[in-house]
Parts: sequence; C-alpha cells; structure tokens
Amino acid sequence: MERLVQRVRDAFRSGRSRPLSFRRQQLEALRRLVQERERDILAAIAADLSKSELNAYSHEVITILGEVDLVLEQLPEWVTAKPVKKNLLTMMDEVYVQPEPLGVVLIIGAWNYPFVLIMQPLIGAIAAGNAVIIKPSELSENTAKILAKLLPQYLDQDLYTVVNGGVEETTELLKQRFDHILYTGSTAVGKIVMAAAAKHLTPVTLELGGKSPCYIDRDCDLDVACRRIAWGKYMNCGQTCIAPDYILCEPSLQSQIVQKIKETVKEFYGENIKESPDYERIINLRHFKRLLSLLEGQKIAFGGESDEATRYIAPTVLTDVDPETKVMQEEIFGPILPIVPVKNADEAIEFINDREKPLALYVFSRNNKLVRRMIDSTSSGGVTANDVIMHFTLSSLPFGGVGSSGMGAYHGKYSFDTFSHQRPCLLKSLKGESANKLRYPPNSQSKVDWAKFFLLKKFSKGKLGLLLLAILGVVAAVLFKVLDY
Amino acid sequence: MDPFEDTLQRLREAFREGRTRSAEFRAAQLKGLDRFLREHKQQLQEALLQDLRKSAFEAELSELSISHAEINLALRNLRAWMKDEKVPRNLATQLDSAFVRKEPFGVVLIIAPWNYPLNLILVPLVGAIAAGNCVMLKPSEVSKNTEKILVEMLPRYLDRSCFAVVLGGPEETGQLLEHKFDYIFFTGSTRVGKIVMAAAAQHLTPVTLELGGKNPCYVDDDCDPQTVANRVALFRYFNAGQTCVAPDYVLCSPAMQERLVPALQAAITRFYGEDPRASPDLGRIISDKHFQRLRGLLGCGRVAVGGQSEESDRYIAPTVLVDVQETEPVMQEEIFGPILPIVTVSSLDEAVDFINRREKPLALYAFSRRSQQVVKQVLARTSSGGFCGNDGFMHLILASLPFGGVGASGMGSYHGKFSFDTFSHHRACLLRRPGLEKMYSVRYPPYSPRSLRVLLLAMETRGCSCTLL
Repeated sequence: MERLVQRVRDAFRSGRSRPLSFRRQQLEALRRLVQERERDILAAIAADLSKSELNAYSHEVITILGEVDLVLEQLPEWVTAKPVKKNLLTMMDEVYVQPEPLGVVLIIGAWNYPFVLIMQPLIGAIAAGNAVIIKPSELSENTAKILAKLLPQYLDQDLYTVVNGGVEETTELLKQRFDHILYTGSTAVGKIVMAAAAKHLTPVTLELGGKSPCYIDRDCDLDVACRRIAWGKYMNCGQTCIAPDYILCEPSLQSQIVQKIKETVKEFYGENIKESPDYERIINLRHFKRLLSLLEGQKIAFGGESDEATRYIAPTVLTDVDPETKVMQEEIFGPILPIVPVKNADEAIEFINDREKPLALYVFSRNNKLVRRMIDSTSSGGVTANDVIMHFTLSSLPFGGVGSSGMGAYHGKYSFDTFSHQRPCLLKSLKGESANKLRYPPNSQSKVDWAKFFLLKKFSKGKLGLLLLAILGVVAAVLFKVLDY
Repeated sequence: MDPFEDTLQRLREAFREGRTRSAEFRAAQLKGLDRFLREHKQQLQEALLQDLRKSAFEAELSELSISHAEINLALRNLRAWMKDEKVPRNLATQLDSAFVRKEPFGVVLIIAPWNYPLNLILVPLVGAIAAGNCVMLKPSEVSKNTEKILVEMLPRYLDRSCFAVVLGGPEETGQLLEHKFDYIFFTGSTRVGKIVMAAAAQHLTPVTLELGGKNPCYVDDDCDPQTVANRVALFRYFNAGQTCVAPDYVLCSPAMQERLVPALQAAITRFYGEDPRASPDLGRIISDKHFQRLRGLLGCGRVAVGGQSEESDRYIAPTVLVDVQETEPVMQEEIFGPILPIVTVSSLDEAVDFINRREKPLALYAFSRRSQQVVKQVLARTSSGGFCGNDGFMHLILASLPFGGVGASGMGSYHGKFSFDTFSHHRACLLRRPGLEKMYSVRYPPYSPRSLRVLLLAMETRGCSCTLL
C-alpha cells in the first residue's frame, strides 16, 4: 500500500496534473467514460442494488454529467488567482489568493449510490489539480469492479488509481499519508477516518449520516407532502443518506398521512410491489436482518412484508412510535417510515434539538413563518422545505453535514474549494526601501502613532485622498531619515 | 473532579437558549472586547513586557492594533456577513428560494499560544463571537502575566453565561479536550496539533489548526543585499524570533551569502545598536526551557553575527549562522528564536528541491529583482500556507487575505471574513412551494424514457446521448 501511494505521489510531484489543459482533458475523458460505457455502468449499479437501469441513470449518471459539464465550463474561472482588497501599506503591491492543488487525495465511497459518490468527488479533485486514490465500497461489488476496470482505460493511470478491498485493505490505506480525505459513510467509521487522518494532520471532509427529521404541519397540502415524502423515502429502498428518516406531526394527522402514503406507494409501484422494476432491494443480508429487527414491537400501519431470498422489504409505515424504541435510535437506511406524534411545532423543535444534528431537515407547511421558525430554531447539514432530497440536486448549494452528520461540503465549486489550498500571495518590489523606515527599529512613540494610522485607517474614498496619504507616508519616512542624522 | 463540565454545561445551555443569535448581542460583545483593550491597555502592555519583553511598538503593532482592526471590521460588516447568501438556481428550482444560511456551530474552544498571547486569542474570538457562538477560551499558561489579565479582567466585558476563560497546563488541556465541543480552534505546535485533532476526532468536532514549520527564505543573486537584509532581519528578530511566520532560514548562493552577512550585521546594528542587549526594541525568550533549547542551536554551523546569550534575562543576541548543514539540529526543528541560519545552494532549482523535500511551511519568502523569473517561479513550484515576495510577513496584516497553513503547517484559515466563515456552518436551504405538483410528477415512478427526457431537460444536462432514450 505504501508503494502504491508513493507512486501516485511521485506522479503528482511530476506536475502533470496541474495545467488547466490537462485537467480539462481528464474531465472530458471522464465524461466520455460515462457516456460510452453507460451500459456497463448501469448494469453494475443495477446488479448491486437491484435497481432498474432507468433509476440508476436518473439517480447517479445525470448528476455526474451535470457536474462535469458545470466544472468544464467554470474551471478556467475557478483556477485563476483572485485579487483582494488592499490597504495603504500594500497599495503598490500585487495581492491575490491563488488556488493550488493539495497533492494526493483519498476518496472513500459508499455502497448506496456507489458510482456517483465516487465520481462526483473525483471530478472536484481532478478539477483542483490533484492526484487521486479511489476506494469504492466493497459492499457494492459490481460497481467497485467496473470502476477498477474502466477508470484506467480513460484516465491517467499513474495519477488516478482505484484500490479495492475490505476492512483490512482500507485500514492499511488509512495508515498512509494523504493531503485530503473525503469519506462518505457512517458516523462510526467517520471517527476512525478522522483519527487516522489526525496522525498525519490530513484535512478531511466527512459525509456522514443521521436521522433526518421530517415535520408535517397541519397547514399543508397533505396529498403533495405525502407523495413527495414517499418518493424520497422509498427511492433506493430507503438507502439514501438524506432520505426523510422519520415523521413528526400532530396525532390527528397520522391516519391521513398513512392513507395518503399508502395510495402513493400503490401509484408508484403498483399492486404487487415486488414485481415493480422501480423498487429496489436491500444491499445485503446483514442490513436486511437489521431492518427487520427494527419492526419488532411496532404498530405497522401498512407494509412490513419481507422476503429474505430477494432481500425485499415492502414500503412500510409505523405509527405512534415510541422515541425510546430501536427504530428511533439509529439511522434507519431502509424503507421503514416511523411516525412520531408530537403536540405542535415547538415540541417538534425540541425533539429535533435533543438529538444529534441531522444531515437534512424537512418541513412541510404552507405557513412561511413556520418554515422559517423551524429552520431558525434547529441546525442540520441542509434543509429542503415542502419537498425532500432536492437541495442535493442544486450544485450551487454546498452539500455536507454538521456535528455528527459530518464536516466540510462539496458539489460544484465547493468540491473545487475543498480540494484546493487557497494560498494568499503578496508580491512587493525591492524598491521603495526608504518608505519602510517607519517600521524599522529603533522605535519611538511617534513611530507607534504612525503605525496605528496606517493599520487602522480605512481605505478612504477617492483616489486623491489615497495619493495624499501615500505622499504623507513618504514624507514622514523621509523626515525620519533626516531626523536620524 | 472535572473542572470544566459545569462551565461547559452553562455555555451549552446559553447557546441552546439562543442568547448569542441576535446581531445586537454579538455587536455588544465585540464592543465589550474593544473596551477591554482600551481600558486595560497599559496593564496589557506591562504584561507583554514582562512575558516577552515586548516593546510598546511591537505590542501596538502586532497585538493591540491588529485586535482593534479585526473588531472594527467585524462590527462594520457583521450584518452583511450574517445575511443569507442567495445562490443561482437551475430550471427545476427556478421558482424556489435557494440560499446558504450562516449558522453558529455552538460551543467553540479556542486554544492560544504564548508568543502573541493577545492577538492569537482575541482575533479568533472576534470571529467566533461574530458568527454567534459561545466560546471557551484557553490562553497559554506560559505567558503568565497576560494570562492573568485575560482570566481576571476579560470576562467582565463579556456575557459570562456565554463566554468563559479557563486556566491550565498541558494536563488540564488534555482533560478539556476530552469534552465535546462544536468547533476547536488551535494555534500552536505541529506536535500538539495532532493531539488536538485526534481528540476532536472522538467527537467528530471540526477543527482549524494554525501550526508551524520552517519558513524558507530564498534570496536570489540579483537583489540589493542591504534592502533584503533589512527586511529579513526585521521579520526574523521581531518578538525575538518567536513568530510562526518568521523567515526561519535563508537559502542563497555562496556568493550571495558573502554579501548578505555583512548587510545583516549592518541591519542588526542599525536596529538594535552595538549592544543589542541594551536595546529596548529587542524581546526576550519566553521561558528557560526555550532559552536552553535555543542556546543549544547556537553551536550549529559557524556564528557569523551575534551568538551571545545571557541566562539571567533569557537574552539571545540576533544571530546569523553560516556553513549550516541540513542534518544539524538548527535545520531539523522550527527555530522560534533570533537565530538565522544560512544554507547555501547552487541554483534556484536546488533551492526549490530543498524546499519541496521538506514539510509544507506556514510561510514562504523569495527575494529578487527579477519578479517574473525568480519570485513567481518559486511561488509556482512550491506550496506553503502563504507567500510573500520581497518582504517578510506583510501578508498577515491584510484581513482580505486568508491566514492559515497547509499540510504540516495546518488546516483552515482565518482573519476578517474568513474568521466569520470558519466559525459558521454553511447550511444549504431550499424552500419549495407546495404547489406545481404536476411539474414535479415527472420524477415519480413508474419510470419511462419520456420522464427521463423531461428530467434531463429540467436539470439542464446538455448533450446527453443517453442510450436509454
């Protein structure tokens, strides 16, 4: 593992990944990869998650194409140095912030959206000029294999390498030194990744999880709310980090919500859900069994059917859920939707604030004031009001968590910034040394006063004022020189 | 008995109650901070003199004025910074409200070092307050006199339910780090930086680490040696060299070394007189431990200028060492003292290789008349927290530049608006309408190629040659 990382580091040191033209070339190759090998990619995702190819396309591929197009368009702007506001002392100098690559980036993917959760960060890392080591999740085996097969065929093989393997290989990998690690996965493993990163002082972006609450106000269009919630909850069989995890609402709304979600599920997947090509399966037996255990002792309003042979769990809704029970203790990550009754919005806010900050917060209401209040009184990675999931799809919004749901963010320009070092640069000339006399010892009170003047004075309006001050500065410097003698 | 739990609990509750949220509250705290600096100016100068023999000039420039400037900047811009930032929308979200909300993290821990004990605790504090957090401050116990004022006086100027100053040495700091904070801001050594990050990892606490390193200073043959010597000497011997961004060592050709050494001697004499020990403008080493450490380094290479030391007042003369080998101790650790080693290289390439072989420094300096060929070359071929061409750490005083390290010199940055952003969670918000459901139904199952086509259009995915269509 050490040699592998060293090879990638040497490739980065060669400087090959830095020129804009090279980055564009690699990104264009990535785009071609996605378009030309679409069939293979979709087949792999479909095999891993029992997902229809249409779903795989709209869940994963669309996002990647959108992202690479955005980056290709904006990259020339992003890589240029940004001049900054100067003060009196730096008036004649070149002052700017230059984005630079960090070096070797490690991207660890997750199994639930196995392709996009590798590709989207990869696009950002390449755009920022880094070399990248990619570690797909071993649980989504087929996608891991296809990534290992396809990436070397389209991208520079020394700069971008796929490493496959399980816990053992990942642990070995984490012992190595990287310049940034982006990890998507569970909170528990997030801590392990950060602890490993601490040994090398490697900055990290952690995209973790949590229980994303969904508050339904009595003043809302319940039909629409339930349809949208059902869409976000049951897509990918509930295995989405920003799926609405549980519902909070007044007790009187429960039965209506149950009814409407039930109808929606029928609309989406038909009478025989098992036969619908649009309904996915649970990734493996361990998670399947875990999810079934969450149903124990619960009031199942509808759903609850399961089939171990195919790892099928029906879209399920639970009512009158006790917050102390297991289903409310861990991120569900499955097609089970608990409804926890609360008295009102205040109680909902308190309920949410008593718990870890979630990755997403959802609130459904026609009342704008209430929506704002819910946002103002809570914290979360992101928020979508009157819908679910959608804040993920706007690349001008940063996507990331807070507290135990993660740290850092990416998507669009945020990816580029995450994988760059923003280096402040101040370029002076060796001339004008006499003006510097003010700052050299031996010091005096008058020098102190002048120093304060230059440091604290705002950049005054009008170029004439500036010129005057500059002249004053030089005059003062000359005076000091004269006085010295 | 955990001395911090109660205080922490108090801060957490105050945050939860929302006390720090309003702009008025934050502004009031910042104004309190400003008053603290004004009303205790003399005491603070006295304390800095006792801790580091810091002259009034240095105290004004590097501790007081900078803190005032940051407070004023924050007060002027607070409301603008706090505003929700609207973002561009795509076709699918055209009718929605999309913005980034800046939120406080909660309870922030700021750990400060002893070399600029006021600046390095107050400037981060300004950012944390402006961003709406509650803060626990841990000043350095090494700069004892300044610590005393911070512990006894500062809390009187801030809302005590939201801000606390705690005391302690390494052991207490270790205890402190076992607690859960919502953000940790640490300035100090690389070694302790790792400990802080490891502790933060246990609670998934995000961190900003302002660490250190050996800041290289490349001096090209084509330059005026006296000008270069003035600038290098000023920034090397400021605060008796105890500055994280001070030029740590010089890289130049043997010919340049010949010209630089007498120029450095001239600069030192001009700044501090024939007997630097008598100059009120030269600081002292903070502690016996560091004094002994630095005294040991005086044996490396050959002393070309200075080299004297006096234990009784922890004085080390402004020193220049030549004939220094890469393997010697003075080139192995961050010097953090008034000693400037010169390492000779035969070319720009060799200098760049030398720099790149080592850890990324906090600052990098290059001096040359030939800006394009030399200065910009060094800049382009290396990495560092920040960079200054033809001067010392001037880039620090501009609040419009982010100040921070990279690699072993740190992560994250601050100053000015960067402080506010560092201490804020940037929350993505998308507020949609309950209506227009027909438009959105294209995304619902059962799926078809047609619905996919419409989706692609809405998400503005161009030139898609999707085989599914």
